[in-house]
Amino acid sequence: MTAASLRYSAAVHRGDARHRRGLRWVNPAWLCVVAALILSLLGLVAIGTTHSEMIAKQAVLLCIGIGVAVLVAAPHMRWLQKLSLPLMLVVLFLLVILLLPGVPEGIVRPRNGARRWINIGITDMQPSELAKIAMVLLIASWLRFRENHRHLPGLIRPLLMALVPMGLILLQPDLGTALLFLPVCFAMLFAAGARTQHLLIIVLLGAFAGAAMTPLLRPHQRDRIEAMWAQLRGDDRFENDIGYQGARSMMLVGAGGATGVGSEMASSMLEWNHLPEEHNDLIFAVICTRWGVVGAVLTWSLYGLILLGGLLTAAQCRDPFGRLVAVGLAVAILAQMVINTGMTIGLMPITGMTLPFVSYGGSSLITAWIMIGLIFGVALRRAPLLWRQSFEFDEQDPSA
Amino acid sequence: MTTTRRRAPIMFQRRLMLLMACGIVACLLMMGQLVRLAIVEGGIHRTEAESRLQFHEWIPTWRGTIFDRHGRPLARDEPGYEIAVSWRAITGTWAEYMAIHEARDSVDQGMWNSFSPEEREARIAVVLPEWKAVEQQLWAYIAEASGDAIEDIDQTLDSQRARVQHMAAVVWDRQQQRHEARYGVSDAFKVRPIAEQQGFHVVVPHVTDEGALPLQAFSERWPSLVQVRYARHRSYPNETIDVTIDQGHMPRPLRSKRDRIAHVERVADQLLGRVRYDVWAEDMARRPFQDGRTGVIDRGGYRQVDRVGARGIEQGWEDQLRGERGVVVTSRRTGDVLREPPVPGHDVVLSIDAELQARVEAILDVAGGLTRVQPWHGNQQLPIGEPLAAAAVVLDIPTGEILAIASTPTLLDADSMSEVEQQERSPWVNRAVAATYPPGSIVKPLVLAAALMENTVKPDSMIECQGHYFSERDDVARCWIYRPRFGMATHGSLAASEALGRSCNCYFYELGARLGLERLADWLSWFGMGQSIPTGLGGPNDVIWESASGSLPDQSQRDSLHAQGEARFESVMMSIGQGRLTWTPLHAANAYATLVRGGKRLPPTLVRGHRGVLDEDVVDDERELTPEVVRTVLDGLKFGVTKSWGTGSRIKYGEGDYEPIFTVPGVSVMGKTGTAQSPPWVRDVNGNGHIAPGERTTGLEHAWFVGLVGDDSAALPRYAIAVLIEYGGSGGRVAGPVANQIVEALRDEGYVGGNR
Repeated sequence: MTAASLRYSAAVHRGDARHRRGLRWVNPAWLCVVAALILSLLGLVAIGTTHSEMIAKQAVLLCIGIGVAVLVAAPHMRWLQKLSLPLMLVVLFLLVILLLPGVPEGIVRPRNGARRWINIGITDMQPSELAKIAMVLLIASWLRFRENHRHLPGLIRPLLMALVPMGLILLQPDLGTALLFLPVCFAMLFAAGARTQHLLIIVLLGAFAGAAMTPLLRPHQRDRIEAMWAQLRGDDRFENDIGYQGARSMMLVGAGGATGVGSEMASSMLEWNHLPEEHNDLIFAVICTRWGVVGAVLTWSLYGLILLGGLLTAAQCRDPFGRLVAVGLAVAILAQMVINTGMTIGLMPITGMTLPFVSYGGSSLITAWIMIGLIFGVALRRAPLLWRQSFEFDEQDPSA
Repeated sequence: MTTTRRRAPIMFQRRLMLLMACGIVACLLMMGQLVRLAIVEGGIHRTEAESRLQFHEWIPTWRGTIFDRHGRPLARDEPGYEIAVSWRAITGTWAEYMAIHEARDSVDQGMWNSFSPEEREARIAVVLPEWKAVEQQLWAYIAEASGDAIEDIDQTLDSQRARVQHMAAVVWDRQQQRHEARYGVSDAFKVRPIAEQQGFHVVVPHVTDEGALPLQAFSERWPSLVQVRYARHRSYPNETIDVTIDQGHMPRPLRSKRDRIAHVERVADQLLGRVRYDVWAEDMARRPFQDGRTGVIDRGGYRQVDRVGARGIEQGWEDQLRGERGVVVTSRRTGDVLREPPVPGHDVVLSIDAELQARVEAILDVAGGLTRVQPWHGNQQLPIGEPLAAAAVVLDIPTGEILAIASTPTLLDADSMSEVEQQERSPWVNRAVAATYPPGSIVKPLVLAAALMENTVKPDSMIECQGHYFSERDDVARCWIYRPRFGMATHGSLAASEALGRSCNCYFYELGARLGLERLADWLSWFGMGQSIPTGLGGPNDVIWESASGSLPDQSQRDSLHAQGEARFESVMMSIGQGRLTWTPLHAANAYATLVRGGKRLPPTLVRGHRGVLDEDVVDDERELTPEVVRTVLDGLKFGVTKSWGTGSRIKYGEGDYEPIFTVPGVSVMGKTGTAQSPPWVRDVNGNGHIAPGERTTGLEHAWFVGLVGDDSAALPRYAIAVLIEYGGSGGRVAGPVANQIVEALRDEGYVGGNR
């Protein structure tokens, strides 16, 4: 008898046939944890550039975030899988509540015309943050034992799982967060083995549909897109109205140069150039002003590390649900970073979206840490003794 | 179990690697944009971001002074104050606004809210009178400071209100259109007050120190009501000049022993121009205060509230005159202060003599009588007393400096003209430099000089006048004397100087034919015909405003004339200044001055120290006129004025009743008359108040006189005078007396006759 079969029979004897005991403490998700920690600390310093009084609160929130991350990492992922559908239902319920007219202002208070926040007593929370996680869990749960997503019809239901919450968020309106759902969903489908050409067809169809939907966009969203195009072409027409944030953030990013202007100068520059939301959505502009290209590249590298950690976790994981959760969450963090920094440097329209870990604000910080916790939870679990290969298809075989 | 140990990447792993690659590509794309912003354009962005770390306080500069040749200031900046009143006060709502606030602030917020509307009104009414009194006091102060009656101020305010309301209506209309295009008609557009309806408006543009003092204390007490701001004011110190005109040398019907005191307003206005206080988009585009892209500041650039030269020297020499603002830069980070003093604008010294200019303007003014149709003019087409447009230039021959240059009617006259009169007389045209006319006979001295230089005629060789030039036809190319009025007379055989003095057309037809079209055009061009004259009126490079160049057949036109066999006829017509030739009075004075200088070409200048650059194609500095040629031509010009048979010598009041035109003693005058056929004058012939299509007067002639003046003792004349009376008729009888008055003005101002 081989050692493995001995271990197996011992496990069967213990009644623990499917899951091995013990946690894998040495795992690639540490990359994510370390990078997230550095980013969070970077965030504290960056916020302190202009709002030193906010550091303490953010530090407390960081501790809470890490605590919550530990909490979500603790249970085995099979519980998460079981909870994914109820969680999504709760999220959808909350998203609908946000949009319902007649909800008292004590619960949903619109800000700048957007209904994104629900007052839960101690603080406001954004259900859309939770929706990201719910979507990742639900799609992972749906796809874990399936193969029909190798065919076009099989893609419809996972896509709907992304599109329904996305549509509700678009109505808030919150274009930025809504846009996040698509790359995450596609990345998960791709990792799960969906055919590339199918995904491309859907992207093309989506692009056409999106173009056709333009008239349905809110005027302020259309204006923002228009302003961004103008900005990219060097047209400063919108500089003093709707393109104001974009123009100011681009200027400050540029002002940082290669190595930045330093803390004291950056603080003056940010103050007198009146950059709006500089501690929040546009925190990346603060990083660029203060530390220049060097700081920006370092920041991006840290997100790259999170992606790497997440993908390595997925590669190592034998559980199909865990695999997709790790992929989905890592891509979600990266995509959010790309959208946020992209808008800061003028490559995307300005939308309300935070830079995970770095931006000021509890909702964003805690959600980001929950995601890290979930990835870490996946990485902690050893493979079951009995497992089979998942998401392996013969790419040459059209029927597979 | 061995299958699980495969090392080669399987599909899932491969796809993870691809996802990682996608992430890296996204970051690289962003990296590209980041490098563009921070490295490539980093400097620009840094400058812009840093510029906001400084607080700039701009210090106004001084606009340069414009002097006349004797150092009299014609336009200069004077310190002073402007009074700006808040829009609420202009609309009369300030008192009410303040009363409401006072009434509301006197009680608790909650208490005020509990009041009924009537109670609020009552409380407001209690305090309203004292605020009304403050408002009244303001207008009393302003009336005192400006020296205007309160009614006049009301009028100013009315126009301000109308202007701002119109502006707001336009802005709102545009905003609404944009709003509807963007959000649809259903989305209600809310009107918000425009900037002008919130800020302060200048009500009195210029107040002296003493005038501003009482208001200053008042404005410190009520800063929301009125502001007294330091502001420079452009003043025109020699704008009004009284000149005494001796009427003893006027033509007999206008002659008087009493002097005429002419009160000349806005002297040299056409040259000086004005400054305007409203900046146009064109100014901002030409020289922006801050470059929109790079953020670089030009301290001499234009801002919203600024002064801009409009018309004339003020416009042409704008960049020299305006100077640069000073600045006090305060760092917002360190509090350091950096001062840059303002750079005052350069002064501009004009070549004109303001007193002489005033005299010439007075002479050309219709009030003097010389520029109205008079009985002795013999003008058959126009009624007696009809005002005539006129222009005159006085040029200092050795230097080419313009001593006086005038054109009537002026912009000031335009104020009292009806619309039809304005159409008839175009008061906005400076006829001395910007309107072109056929030269007529005044071109003859130049033709004679050319023919002598080309040796096509000798000074003493005789040419026979038969009354008409072409032997086969007597209805074209006739001499002026070959008319029924003069009994179809002829001049007989003439030598050069006498032919010029008699202005015999036939003599010059012959010269024109002998010279041929090419040589004639070449010489006329050399004398400046068809060339624009860089006087400096349009600035150092005459870029903004170009003087009219006049016309002369160019090479291609001449080629086609040759091809059509019309060249000979054209050169014959050109030799008496008809056909395709036109020029301005300034051209005429310049050509005669060139002649006197023996061919030394100096572009006439209006600005001392400024020498315009002539068109290089026609500059031929090698060419000169020999003294003999100059002598012959000047002799002819002398005959024209002094001999009884000279065309510019006598006015005929009746049969046998003659008087000399030039009557100023101690001065040598020579000159040439010109009576040039003009195109029809579009005017209100029947006096019904509007000009019907085709309503015009035909058969009119422009009256020219170009004179050369000097001391009796001098060998050569010193000043060239060109006079043009539009549609005036005979050069001798109409333009001659005007030239005589200008000669007298030159003597009165001490330029000739040893008077000073």
